[in-house]
Amino acid sequence: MSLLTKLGIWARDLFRVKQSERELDAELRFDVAQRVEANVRAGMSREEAELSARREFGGVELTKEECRDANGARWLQDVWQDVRFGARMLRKNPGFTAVAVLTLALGIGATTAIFSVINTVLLRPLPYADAANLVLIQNTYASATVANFPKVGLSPGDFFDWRGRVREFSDMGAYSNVSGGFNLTGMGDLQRVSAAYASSNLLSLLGVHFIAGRNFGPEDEKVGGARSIILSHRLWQSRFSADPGAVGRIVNLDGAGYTIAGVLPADFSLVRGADLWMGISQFDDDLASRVHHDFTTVARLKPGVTLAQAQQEIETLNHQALRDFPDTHKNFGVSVEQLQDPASAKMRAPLLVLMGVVLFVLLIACANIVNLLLARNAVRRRETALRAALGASSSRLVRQQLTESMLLAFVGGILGLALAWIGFQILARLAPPDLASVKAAGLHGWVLAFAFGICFLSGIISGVVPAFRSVKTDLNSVLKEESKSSSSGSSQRLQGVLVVSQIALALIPLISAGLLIRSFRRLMSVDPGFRTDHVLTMEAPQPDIPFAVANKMTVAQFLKLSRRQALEFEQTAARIQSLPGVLRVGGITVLPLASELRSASRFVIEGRPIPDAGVRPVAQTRTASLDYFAAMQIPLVEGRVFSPTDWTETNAVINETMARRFWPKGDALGKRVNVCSLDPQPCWSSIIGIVGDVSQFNLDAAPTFDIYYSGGWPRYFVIRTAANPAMLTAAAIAEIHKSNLELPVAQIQTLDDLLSSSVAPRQFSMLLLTIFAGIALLLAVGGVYGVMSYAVSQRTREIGVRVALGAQQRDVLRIVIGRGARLTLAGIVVGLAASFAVTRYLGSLLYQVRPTDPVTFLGVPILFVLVALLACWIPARRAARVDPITALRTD
Amino acid sequence: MNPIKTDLLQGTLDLLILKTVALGPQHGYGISLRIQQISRDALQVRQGSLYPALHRLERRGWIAAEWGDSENNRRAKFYKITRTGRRQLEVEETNWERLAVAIAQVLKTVES
Repeated sequence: MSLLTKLGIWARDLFRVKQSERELDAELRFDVAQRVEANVRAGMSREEAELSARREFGGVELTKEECRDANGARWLQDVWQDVRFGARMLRKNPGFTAVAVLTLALGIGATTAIFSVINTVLLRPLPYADAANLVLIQNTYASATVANFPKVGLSPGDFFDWRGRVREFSDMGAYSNVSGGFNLTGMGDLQRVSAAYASSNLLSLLGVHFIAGRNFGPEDEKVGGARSIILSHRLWQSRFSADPGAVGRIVNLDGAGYTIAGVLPADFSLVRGADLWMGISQFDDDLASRVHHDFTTVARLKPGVTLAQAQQEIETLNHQALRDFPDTHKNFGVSVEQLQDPASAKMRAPLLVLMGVVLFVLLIACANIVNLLLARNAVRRRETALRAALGASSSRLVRQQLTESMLLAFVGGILGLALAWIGFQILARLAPPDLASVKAAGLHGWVLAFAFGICFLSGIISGVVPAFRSVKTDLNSVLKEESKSSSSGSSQRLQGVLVVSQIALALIPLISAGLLIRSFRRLMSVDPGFRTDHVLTMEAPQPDIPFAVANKMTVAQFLKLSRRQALEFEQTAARIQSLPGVLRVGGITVLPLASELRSASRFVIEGRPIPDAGVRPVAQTRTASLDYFAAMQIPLVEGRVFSPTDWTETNAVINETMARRFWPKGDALGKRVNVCSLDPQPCWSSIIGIVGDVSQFNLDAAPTFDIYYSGGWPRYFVIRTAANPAMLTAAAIAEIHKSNLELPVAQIQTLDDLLSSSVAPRQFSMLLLTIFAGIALLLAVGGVYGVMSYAVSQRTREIGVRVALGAQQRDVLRIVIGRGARLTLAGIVVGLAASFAVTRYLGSLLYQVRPTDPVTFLGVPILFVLVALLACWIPARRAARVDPITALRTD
Repeated sequence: MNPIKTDLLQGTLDLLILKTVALGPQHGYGISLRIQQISRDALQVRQGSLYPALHRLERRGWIAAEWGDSENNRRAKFYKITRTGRRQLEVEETNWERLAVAIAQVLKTVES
């Protein structure tokens, strides 16, 4: 018989249990009736006949039982029966059930929520065709490493050269997002848009399906060729009302016309910030350059080619390039790695830590269920023993127990999914913008399968020990026992072990959370180098001067232009400053606490030996307005800040770290540095002042060397106000618009907001870890409380005897709390040892706090002990109040 | 002759049942009666073995059950042999004969 037919019969039987029972009954009754009739015919009296027939037949119930066994559907019927029985038992103990279900719901919900995020962020492949074969090719710094940015893109020269020569790759494309952006004019409001540049094959190599239009063509790679752009889905919707007819239209960017060639799909996330893409020929640099590493290179491996083979080939190409261009290639290595979403890569560490923590939470929850079931089974021992005595096989009893814990787990699981869903709503609201992918996480597909698996596992884990223990009990002694029950020594030991492991398991996330909280406090106590309160910032960029135009300008022309721009900025700033409530207005090209590398240069110092190009130190270069330092309250350490005369001279202000590192004797003023190419001739600038250090990147980033220049248009307005800065937004924008410069205003935020969004990812992981550690603490302490309460209720009689014999309340308290304290301390010792071994995996999540930070390793256990003692104290007090007379009368 | 009340080998009981229902549809009581009659009271099948065996054979698809009216007009569950059951009967008969011959052979050897 085929499996399908069998399943069919089982299913039919399962749903017709009652009917098949009736049939079986009828069949056997018929047999007995026939016998009776035969006996009557043989001459017996009716009574005799019936008696004899029953004797002949033997045990009807036993026969029925065996017939049911012979029917294959037996186990399914049993399961059904067990489920109904289990549900009845759970309904009978609503308190127990509620606690157990809630505990499991917390564990399962937390695990499911985090898994769902992991599923979305780490496990989901990139939204490109056959993403497993896509790799990222980068240059590495062979010797000196640049803090925060250890890898860079390829140079345009290398990219075009290598693309034509690779054999292990089926295609190789590049993009660059080094762009100040463009002012989009002509349709509606003036808008600032950011552009990225793509080689013509990049989008087809990724397998992007265009919503409308087409990809770039070969003519888009020729300098002076076609000027096409491809719109992001976002810009297409906001600016072109999602009109497919936008394709073919001409738009005006910084005064030049570009034809819309196509529209990208919504899920395209390469260079998230890019509003539109341009052909690589529009890239503002020399496409034969081997100096600027601006081309992020993505390539597709030929089928069967390994990463190692690919790496080998690129290394060979790099060696050849080194022979041909020793100056530019001396200090660069290459790396080939799997392409991944950079935002995902950033979240990997915190997510894995969180997953570990929620698994601990789940285990603690399961241990609680084990304890609850053990306690309840102790009460139900007589019932179990009775069923065993009446012939229930031990495997049947185990199954019954497992069914019950499974039922708890699945009801808990359903509630857990609800909790996870609520958790998501909160998570999505709390998630910082660059962790936006968290919002895409949800409860579907694999996540539900995972939750199902976790429920099943929890059911097994929490049911198996109580089940086997309940079977092991000695029937005779249980049934003979007069008293309701008193838990045996071995069961007390088991509960002790469970409590100890719960505490140990909870201590690890608590200590981790403690370390993260301390890291975050350290981070928040870092002085960013400027006052963040009462400052409004906004970006109002002028169109960039095209590279080709700038290249042809003489130094005199360039200075004249930058003086004009600086003057325009100061005039606008003066108008804003005249607004009531405004204290100081400054400008800067890149705001501090930047999330990406925007403007940096290698530099050399006059009169010192000139290092090789690749090992020259890197400085962050900024253009500041006259009042920038004052508006930001960045202290002047030495010398002076900029005055209008510096617009026509090349003078520079540097930061303290740079001064101390390169002029330790304090003689930096008046020295000259160069950030331009040395060929044909350097452009020296004299140091006129030294200002305090500023966190140019995150608060936890290593200090940078900073060089400030003056002259030119510094894009960002920095407005220090007397009162709430946000209230001045509209007035400040109005003043900028009055300047007749046709400037788009964007990125309006206060410095306080900027600061909090720069620490948001850390804060987010700290917050989540703390929440889960709190749940772990709650569950573990709940476990301690449960076991102690149970122990007290079991020992009421004993305590009564002690009190009757003269024990004081104090003594009783000591007995109960003593046991609780011993268990807690044992758990803490184990937990501390485990934490020592584990916390180093927190790695990059910590900031200036060692993984074995003594304050945390001391403070958290003390806190834990206090809470646990409180949990013991409640049952202890109940024990101390035991009235000996009632206690001795019970049972 | 004392009836054999020992537990028959499971396969043997199956063989007897298959053979009996092969003679025509019969209810459980009828099957046990017929085995008893044909064996001239030598074999008595206990109900505690018969009914589980019937359910087992039904589950295997060798016999099929149908409710019908008995000789005295009571509702009874009649079993009849199926096509696969008939094939199985042939196989079992051959096996049994081979086994009987083999056992007889062994017994003779021991006696001589």
